[in-house]
Formats: sequence, C-alpha cells, structure tokens
Amino acid sequence: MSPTRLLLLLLALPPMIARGEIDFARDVRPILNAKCTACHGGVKEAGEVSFIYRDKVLGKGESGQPVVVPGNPEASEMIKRILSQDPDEVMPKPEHGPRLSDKEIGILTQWVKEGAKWGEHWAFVKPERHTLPKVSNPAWCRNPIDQFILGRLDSEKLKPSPEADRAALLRRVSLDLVGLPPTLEELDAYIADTSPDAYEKQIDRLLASPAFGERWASVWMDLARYADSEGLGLDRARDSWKFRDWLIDSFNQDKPFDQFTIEQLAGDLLPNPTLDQLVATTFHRLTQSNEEGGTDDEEFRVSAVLDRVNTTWEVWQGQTFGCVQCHSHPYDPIQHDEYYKFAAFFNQTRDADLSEGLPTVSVPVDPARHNEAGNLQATITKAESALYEIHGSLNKSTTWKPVNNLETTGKGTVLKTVDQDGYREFRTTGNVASSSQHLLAFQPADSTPLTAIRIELLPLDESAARLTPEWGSFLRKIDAVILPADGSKPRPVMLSRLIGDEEHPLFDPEASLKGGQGWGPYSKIDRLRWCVVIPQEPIVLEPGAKLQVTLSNGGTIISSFPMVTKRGRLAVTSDPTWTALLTQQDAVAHRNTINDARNKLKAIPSTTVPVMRELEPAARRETHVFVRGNWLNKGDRIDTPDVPALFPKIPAGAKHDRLAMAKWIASSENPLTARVIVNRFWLELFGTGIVETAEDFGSSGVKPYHPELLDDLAVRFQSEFKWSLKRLARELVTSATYRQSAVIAPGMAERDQSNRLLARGPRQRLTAEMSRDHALTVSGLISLKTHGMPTRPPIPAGVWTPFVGDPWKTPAPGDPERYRRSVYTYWKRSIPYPTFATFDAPTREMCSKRRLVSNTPLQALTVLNDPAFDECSRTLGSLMEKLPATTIEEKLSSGYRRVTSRTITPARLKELVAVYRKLEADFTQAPDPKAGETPQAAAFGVVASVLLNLDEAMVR
Amino acid sequence: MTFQEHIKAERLRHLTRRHFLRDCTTGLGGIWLASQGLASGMSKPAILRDANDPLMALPPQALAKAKRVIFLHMVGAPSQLDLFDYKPELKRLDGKECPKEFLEGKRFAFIQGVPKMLGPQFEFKQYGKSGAWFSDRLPNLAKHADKLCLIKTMQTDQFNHGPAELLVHTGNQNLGYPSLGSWVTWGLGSDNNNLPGFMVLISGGRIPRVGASLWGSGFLPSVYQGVQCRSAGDPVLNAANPPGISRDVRRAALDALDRLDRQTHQEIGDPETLTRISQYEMAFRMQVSVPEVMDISKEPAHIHEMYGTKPGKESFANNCLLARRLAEAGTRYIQLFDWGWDTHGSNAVESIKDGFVKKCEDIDKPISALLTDLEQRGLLEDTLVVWSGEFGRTPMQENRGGTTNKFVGRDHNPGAFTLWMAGAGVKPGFTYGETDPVGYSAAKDPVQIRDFHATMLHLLGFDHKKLTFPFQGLDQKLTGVKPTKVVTGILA
Repeated sequence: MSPTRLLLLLLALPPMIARGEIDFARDVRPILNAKCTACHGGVKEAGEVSFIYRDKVLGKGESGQPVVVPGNPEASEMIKRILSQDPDEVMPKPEHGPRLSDKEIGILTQWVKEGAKWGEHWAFVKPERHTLPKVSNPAWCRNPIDQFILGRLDSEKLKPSPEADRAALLRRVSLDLVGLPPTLEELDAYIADTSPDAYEKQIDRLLASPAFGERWASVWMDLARYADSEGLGLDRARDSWKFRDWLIDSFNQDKPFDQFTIEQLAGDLLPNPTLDQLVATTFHRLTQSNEEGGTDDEEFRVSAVLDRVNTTWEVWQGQTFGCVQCHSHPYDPIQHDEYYKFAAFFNQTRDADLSEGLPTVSVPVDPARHNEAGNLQATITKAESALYEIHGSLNKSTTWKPVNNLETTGKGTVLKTVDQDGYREFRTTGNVASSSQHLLAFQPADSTPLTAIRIELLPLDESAARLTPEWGSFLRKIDAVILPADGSKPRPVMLSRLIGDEEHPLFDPEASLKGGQGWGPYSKIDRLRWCVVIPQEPIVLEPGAKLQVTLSNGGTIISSFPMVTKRGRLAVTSDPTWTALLTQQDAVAHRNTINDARNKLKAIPSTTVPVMRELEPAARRETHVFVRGNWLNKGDRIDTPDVPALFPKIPAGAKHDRLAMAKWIASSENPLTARVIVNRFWLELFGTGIVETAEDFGSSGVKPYHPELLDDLAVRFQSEFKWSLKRLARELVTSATYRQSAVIAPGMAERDQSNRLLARGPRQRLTAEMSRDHALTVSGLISLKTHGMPTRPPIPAGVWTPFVGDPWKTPAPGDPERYRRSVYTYWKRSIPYPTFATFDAPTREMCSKRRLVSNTPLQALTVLNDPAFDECSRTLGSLMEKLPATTIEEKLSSGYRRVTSRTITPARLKELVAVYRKLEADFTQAPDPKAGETPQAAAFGVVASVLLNLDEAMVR
Repeated sequence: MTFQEHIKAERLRHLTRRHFLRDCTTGLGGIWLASQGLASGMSKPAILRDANDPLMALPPQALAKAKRVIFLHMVGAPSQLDLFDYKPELKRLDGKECPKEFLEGKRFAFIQGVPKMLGPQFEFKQYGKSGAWFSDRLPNLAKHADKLCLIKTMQTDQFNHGPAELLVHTGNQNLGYPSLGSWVTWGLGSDNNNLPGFMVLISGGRIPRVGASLWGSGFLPSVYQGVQCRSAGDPVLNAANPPGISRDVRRAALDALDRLDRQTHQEIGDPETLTRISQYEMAFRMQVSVPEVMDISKEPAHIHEMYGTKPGKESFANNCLLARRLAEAGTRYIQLFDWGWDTHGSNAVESIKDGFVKKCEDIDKPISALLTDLEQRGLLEDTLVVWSGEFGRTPMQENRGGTTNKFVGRDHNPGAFTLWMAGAGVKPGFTYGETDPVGYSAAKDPVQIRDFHATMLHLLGFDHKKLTFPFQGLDQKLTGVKPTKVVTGILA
C-alpha cells in the first residue's frame, strides 16, 4: 500500500477518538488480547511478532518491518496490516476473524500516533488510595465504601434503596458472618434495642462468635482444596482435620492476613516454629496423592509441586499461572521459565507422594496440649541436629577404606560385581524379587580390627537420577557374620548402632538393626546415600576369615515396585572413635533426650497432619524447566528460585527460599495480595466480586466494576486495618451499601441484574454448608460443639460406596454428633456429600476459586426428601406442635419466623393455616403413622417441610 | 436432517440466541453471564445458555448423525488381545522372553525386567460379511459383527487407571475438567423436560476409582453434571417422598409453597424466586418420570430373556436395558461403567482364564440384546453406542514383584487398545487401524483419545474446535491443545 493511500485511509477514519485520551491498559490491551495475541502472544509468536512485551512491539518482525514506530502510524507495520484491503496482507487474517472495527482501528492508530505509550495491566500496579468522590447525599454514607458506591449511583442517576428492616438485616448479616440464622431471642433483642449503635453491637457479637471461624473456614477450605481423603487412585482417608481446626481458630483469633499467609506457605521455615505453625503448612500438603498400584511416586510428587505453584497464584494473586507451565503466558507478561523459577521455591520439600503421607507431625487431639507436644518435638529436633553434627564430623574425619574384593551372593535376586572408583560394587542383574537378600562378603586388606562399616547405595545412572530419580529401596534388616577360614559355622557379629545420612529421618534408621522399615533411599534414589553400622566391639578377623554383611531388602510398594537396592558398595575403618561413640557421653545424652521425648509424646492422645518440611541441604533437588510442561523432559536448570520479573523483587540480601516467597506475597509491595482477599470478602458478602472473575485478575479477567473502591479498600486493609479480616468484614457489613433492602425496585431487575451497581442490598442463596446448618438450626437440632474429628451425618442409602475401606457410620438420632455443623462433615473427594454437591459445593480436587450458584430441581428434591432434611422437617413440626401457644395460628407464625426470621404477613398465615387444616383433615381420614403419630403431628411435619422449602428459607 | 428441517433448526437457533440475550438480564443469568465470559469482552462460550432453562434442547452447531450416546465403559481395561485383536504371531511367541525392542524406553505399571510373551488365551474366528475377528468369549456380540465399527489402534498417554479414565471421560488426565456427557448436555440440552440429560449407571460392585469426577461438570455449570442412578434406594437420589408422604400430600404442600413463594416474589421482585418455583414443579414431575423410566419390572418376559435381566438387582444387564429405556425417553448421554476388568493375573478374579471369562459372560448377552433392541425400535440410527476401556493390555505376561504370577494376566498398555462403536453415523461392519504383529502398539492409523472425542462430537453435530468455553484465560475444549483430527475413515 502506498503511503499516500494509507494516509488517506487514516484521515478517513471516524474522529471518535479524541486526542490524548488513549490509555494502553484500558483501551489498547483489550483489543490486542481479543484480536491479536492468539497468534502474536505468549504462546505463539507468528512472524516473530508478539504484543505482550513492549520491546517486542517496538522491534521488527520476521519481515524486517518495524511492528510499531511510536508517533508514526504510517511507518508501523501493525497499522498497515490492520488497514490493508489485500486478503493476503490484512490482519487479523480473514480465516481467523473479521476486520477490526473502525473504532478499534482508530484506537490503535491514535495510540501509535501518541507515541505508543506502554502501561501495565491495572492489577500489576500497586494500588493507591483514592479521593472520595463528591456525592449527592453525604448523609447516607456511613463509611468510604458508601461514598464510592453512591458516587457511581449518582453518575448512573440511581438512588440507593432504603435500609432493610431489622429482621431481614439480622438474618442477612448472621448468615453472612457466622453461617447460621438468628435465633428468635437474638431477633427479639435486636428489634427491642433502641440504642443508636444497636446494629454495630450485633456485628461485634457475631464477629466474636466461635461460629465466625467455622463459616469462613468453609470459604478458605475451597481454596485450600481441603478434603479428608487423598484424591486420585484409591482416595483413602487422610488425617488433616487439625488443619481445618487451625483455620477456624485463625479466623476466630483474627490472625492478621499477612501472618495467616506466611504460616500456611512457610510456617515450617519460621524461626523455632510452634506446632500450630507446622499445622498451618498442611495447606500445601492437601494436594492429591496417588496410591493406585503401579503409579510413579515422582510423577505425583511433581504434580503436587506444580499444584502448589498454581494454587498459590490462584489463591493469593488471582492469577492463572497454570498456563505458564507449558508455555509463556498467552496474555500477560510472564515467561515460561519464570514459572519454574517460582516452582523452585516449592521443589525442595521432603514429601514425595509416599504411601504413608510423610512427613507428618503428630498433633494432640486436645488443643490445650499443642504447646506441650510442640515443645517435645522441638526438643527432639534439637537433639537430632546435635547428634547429626557429632556423627557427621566423625564420618568426615574418618579414613574409609573402600572394599575392593567383594564377593556377592543374591537370594532371590542375581548379583554381579563391577570394579569402579577403587571399589568392587555389587549390582543386581535382570529382575529383582521383592524382599530379596544381598550377601556381601570380603576379606579386609589388613588385620586391624574393624570399628565401623559404611554402606553406600547409588543410583544406576547417577547423572540421569539427578534429573529424574530412580526407584529406591530400604533395608528391612542388616546382619553381619564372620565366615571362619576353616569353613566352620559362621559367627554372628553384634551390631550396636546404625547411623544414617539424614538429620531428621522419616523412619528410625535403627529399625534396620532390629528388623522393620529403617534406613534407605525410600522410595526414590537420586544420589549417593550412605549409612554407617557400628559393631558392639571391633571386629577381629583371623587370617583367611571373611566378614559377611547381609542386606535384607524391603518389600513391594504400590503393588508394583520392589524396594530392592540395585547398586552399592562398602567401606570400612579401624578408627577407634566409632567404638567410643557408643558410650560417648553427649551422644548418649542426646539419644536419651530423644527417647524420653518420644515416650512422652506417645502418651499424649494424638492425630497427625501432613506438613511441609524442607529437604536437608545434602539432599536438595535440582529444578529444571519442563519442556512444554512435560516432567520427563527436563530443560534448563534453575539455579535460584525467584518471582516473575513483572512483580516487585524479593528484598536484596534475602535468601530465596519458600519463606522469602511467602513474605513477598504477604507484603504491602505486592500489588495483588490485598486486592484479591478484599475482593474475596466482597464476593462472599455481596454475591459478586468487585472483580467479578475473582479467580482471574489478569488482563483476560473481567475489569473491576469499582476500581477506585477496590484499590482504596485494599490499601486501607493493609495500613488502617493492619490486615485484620474481622476489621475488613466489619467495614463491609456496617456500610450503608450492605444495609440496603434487597427489594428490587421496578425496572432494576432489567437494569442491573446481578446487582453490581449495588442500588439495593445483596440477596444470596444459602451456600451448601449453610443450607444444611440452617435447617438444623431452625429445627433446634444443631450441635454447636466446635473442633474435632470429621463427622458423618445421615447420608441417603447407596451413596457411600468407597473404592477401599472407609466406612460411614452415622450416629443414631438424638446423638448430638449427628447434628454437627457442615464444616465438620467428612469430605471425600471421590464421593461428595450429596447435599453439598447438589448445592454447588466443589469436590475440592483442586483449588476452587468461586462457586457458581445454580437453581435446579435436584436441590428441590434434596430439601423435600433427603432423609436429613426430612428429620429436620419432622423435628420442626413437632416443635411447632408442642409450643405452649394456644392457637394453630400462633404456632404456625412462630414456626415461620424461626425459619425465615420474618414476622408472618396475614396473607401468608392464611395460606399456612389453610394447608395445615387440609392436611390435618386428610391425615384424619387416612391416618399414616409413618407420617406422624397423630394427624396433627403429621400435618405439622408437612407444613414444616413447606417452611424449609420456602424461597425465603433458601436465601439470606 | 432434510433441508427444511435444517432451516427450521437454524431459525430456532437464532431465536434461542435472542431469547438468551433478552432473558439473561434476569436472575442467575446475570451471574452466569460473567462465567460465560461475555462480560470480559474476551471470548464467548460456544453455547449461550439461559440459566433459567439450562437444559432446553438446542439444535447442534452443524448437521448431526447422532442424537444421543450410550457409552459402555469396561472399567479396568479389558484385554483387546483376548477379545478383538487377533495376533497369530503372538501365539507363536507365547512363553518366550519378550524381545528387547518392546521394553526399551517404555514405562510399565507392574512389569519388571524381562517378562514372557503371552499368546491369545482363547480361540478366534471371523464373523459376518465383514469378517471381523472375535474370540470365543463374546459369541453373542460376534453375531453383530456387521453392525460394529472397530478401532484397533486406540492410544492414550496414561497408564494408570485413575488418570487414564479421566482422560477418556474429560479429555484431561487431571481432575476438574468437564466430562464428555457434560459437554454434550451443555451443547444440546435434554429432549425430556422431566429427566436429567446425562445419566450414569454403574455395575460390577464398585464405582470407578476417581468416582464422580468421571461425570462431573468441571468448569461448566454444575447442572450439566451426570446424575448417578443407583441400584439401592431411590433410582435417583431423593426422588421418593419421605415415609408417609403420599403424592397427594406432596401436591398440597407444593401448592401452598407455590402460593407463598409467589407472595415473596411480589414483595421482593427477585426473578430467582420464579425460577425456584418452576424448579419445584419440575422436581414434582421428575418424581414420577424417573422411577417410571427406571422401573424395568414391567418389561415383557421376552425382553428380560433377551437381556438376561433380573429386576431389582444391580447388574450390567439391567443397566443395558435401562440404557435403552433412557435413550427412548430422550436422555442425551447415557454412561455405563462396569467395574472389574483389570486382569493382572495377581489372583483368580484378575485372571484372564477365570475372572475375565466371567466378566465376558456378564456383558456378552446384554450388549448383544441392547444392539438388537435399539435396532428393532429404530433407535440405532440416531444413537451412538460406544464400547471401550481406558487403555489396552500388554502382549507380555505380567511379572509383578519380579516373579512370574500364578495366574495369567497382562499389564497396562497405553500403546494400543480396541474401541468399537455402533449406530449413528459410523461405518457398520468396519475395522479401522492395524496394530503391530503382537498387538503391542498401533502400526497403522493410530487414533488418540482426543481424536475419538473429536469424532464423537462431529457425529453429534459439533466442531470440536468450536465447542469452547472460556476458563482461566483460555478457550477450553474437550480435545485440549494438542493436534486433533476427526477420524473421517470411520464415518458412514
């Protein structure tokens, strides 16, 4: 196209864009994302052109033409292409989509003309406080939220709704804050309270209630993918409920959100962590594990690590980081290798999809004993470190003599020897049989007594194993005998101690001496591993005699993999210090300390939780980029974990570990953390987030509806509220905005269907947990006991068919355990509790950021017929029947108020009385004891069911 | 579809879209709007759904051969080498050590070191005009040889059950993605207002190991998840009234509920209340329609004889008959899972000579009856029947723990397995693809799970590239991001 023609075309554009108005993030990026980045983005860079990074946009494409020349649209290839009439030239290509609209072309052209100024997406820029807008009715505003909301309503020429009546308001705020409806007494007290701060007093009461933590723990458990089972494969039960209790307590104690964050992501790396801080790290051990036969532990370890990365970004940063696993981010400036730099923060933990779920910590069932157990565990940790220090330095100072004349006999497995690095190694050949034994005999080079034997195990291919570890092994038993030169009976050697190469081993290494799962590279081996065996007395061999060490291997794990050592070697020493170690005072003292503390711990009734634990320095892994996201295809090595360059840096001088990463997230410098949590609370309380896509704050998400409000609140949350979630909740629910009536003014259903302008108060359906807790509460059945083991409420017949074990025993009617709050219900990923699933609860296989609310006939069938709801109906019916009130009218009115929190209207009462009379007459004519002992009881039961099914009962 | 019908469908589609755009401004529609990606100004989902009538039947995007699907999944992965993929060469190698080239670079679930080859365990014969091979374990099905379209070269990249089953049913080995039935129900809705559009039937004594995730709706709205029909208790959860509550009592209660909720709607004006009222009405209808369709006791004796059904008992045969009844009633997607096909040879039940033989007996007659029955009712022409496992089995005998098993079994093999289809839109009496001489991997025309998905969607009237839903910044598809093709070679 000739420059003149291009110029003419540009001049012909409609003048809809005024000069100097283009904002890159607001105006340009959305067009690029919608129309260009599919081919010219982070995934594909067709023609070497990408619109994600400024330097690429200002560079040249494959054609050699500059993509964008700031200030000069005519010289910019991008503008030429979008204007072109030539089907071979025009962009987007005709087969990919229609021409850009005149408006879009105008915006892009004007942008280039104005110098192609770049701007980051709003969410990547640190939030700032905003001036409050001038509003039409300052008296209406109770706090800054209201000023922003009213400012917007003013601009839309809308007026806020009047305040909701007290009954409606107390119901809404009770269910929102504590997940339970108000009792009649609470309603009466609030309605009778004439003080000006009557509402605020209710808020203080609710925020101080232990039920607050239960309600908000449920919200966080979706994000944490909390379940009482492992997921995939066998989906066996997994003890993790102490973490749920930790969440409840944290919300109730109003743990500041920055601290709440750091403890969950890296509580184990805090200085002298408490037991509760270790329990907090269960958050990232709630990943699925796979114990299905034949599954590779490393594959599922890796997949857990990636899940931790993705979940961290989704929960705290509202970013879809998962797509960067395979390629650079399609829309946002995050590079492929940056994903793995971040993954490196998580790649150094000890868990490895082991069947035992290790590492775990044991946690006293009684919360009052947490500190006691925590101190005992800290004592053990300290003593283990001291011992490790003693053993390590002794091992280092010892002159080990490689055994280079090994003779091998395999029992169950064929062994061979290979001479390498001065050793004669043993190796297995062909198939290895589970639980086989390796008999290793040798004659020492000289006659000095042997004081210790060092057993070294190696991967078959050491360099490959550093990238992807091999199946490992463990020693079920170690024995040693002397084979006399004359062929007489072997003489046993007493082995006194076994010292492993780990500071804090998952299994007691000494179990290998007694028989059991002890020392070994379990379940994978990625480098040389060693242990030292110390005989009770130095071993003296007569000339010609041999020492024979027998390694008894472990059995099969995951129905498939024999834990058999495939390669190893021995070394010996005559250093007398090893024998002395057996009685060395400090070592003995540390061992006694450990044993003492262990015995005391054993005496405390406890459960366990899986926790995060950093690998010891000697065992740290290498992290590599996975080429196209494939874990078996390792690319460049990542030397230092880091955060993406787009974001503020980790402070200079800080060690780049998981704790630094956690602090980076929980920092006021992080542009996303505060916005994302503020938005989440907003979403829960108002039904829709200020950013509607609470899970996506990236440039492909929905733009915030009130950006200034979100930013202002985010800044205040960090500074003024000091990260207090209760303070945040209080700010939201005490706003005039929240307190509005939910009645929809004429025309507003069409004008603002999802109530984003907030010209009325929120009216939300109860969550899955609330719907059950609500029915239990209004029927008087609920048990408000807090904390403890998961509960198993009634479940319809035929639902509970777990793949293995895991029985469901429901406590009998009348037992309070049957009526515990829903947050305590046993949560199995493969068999969701049916009521929760029907009411839109996720299965919590992965982090779920938002529940999409549905309205289905299956929900109706649940509340009408589910045995648990039926029990509530009948109980509520009998409660109404037995009220001391004299008339049916009074009884029904009272029942209605229990369920809906509202005072009944005459028209409704008429309906209820009519249906009661009809049912009473019908049951009198055709009595059915299954419906109720008397016609009256039956009729009350059915009317109670009507009440529980009311639209008013299902909403808050 | 005739040209006239096509025009009519087109018009309906435009109407539907207008209807959606008008009505989506109320109630949940608004909330769904964002989840449907409209508000972002980014991508739109392929199907725009009215949240107040989410299962309304919609015409497909293109001409469709199939209106509904019956998918028979043999959970655990049956041995193709002992049923369909006849390998004389493997017979010759029986008992010999496995050649090295089969082992290099391969990952196995259970095989270790050098295993022995295991020949076909049963006699094979050719059947029908098409001359398809069947072992003597499926004599009844073999009579339908000329109806079946067999793909011998199915491949997957997962070799553990959980992930492989997820891949078959959601296109992804991880949890959390919509199942096939959800995509299809989302796309087409239900032809019966009184029944769920996606029903799941289970036999074999166990649910598949990843459970409800195999029929979950993933990021699609939860109304598109499969509804599990149960063998104990209500056929669908909570369909029956509580004890002592008759249908008349329930009607009276619902009438009162309806009038009370209408008063609430008058006062508050929330459109959600109206939706709720209509959902209660549908629930009331479902209470009759579901038990009715699930009650096989009134089927005539010759039908019971043909299927081998016994009312009231959990069995694959009962589920096959139910599948026919559901298809007849207009259910869009009918998913059967039959557990117990994981024949490793680690015990008698897992032995090809024992447990496997019994499993074959369990399915042979019912599947044969289902095909006959669908055909005689004219349903086979627009119903797609699919039979498959989640992967294949190895031509080597399993040697778990490094030793030879006492019983005869085969390990997991992602490299080749047989899937067959019958009915709407596929070539009858046709075999597609060839495996290598021992049936270990696809030698000619390999078909990936995602290719099968694309083909199934094609038959239902969808372009797999265009059936998209925006989620996590991407236009998500059932077939994912890897290159995918419709297997045109099997289309009738």
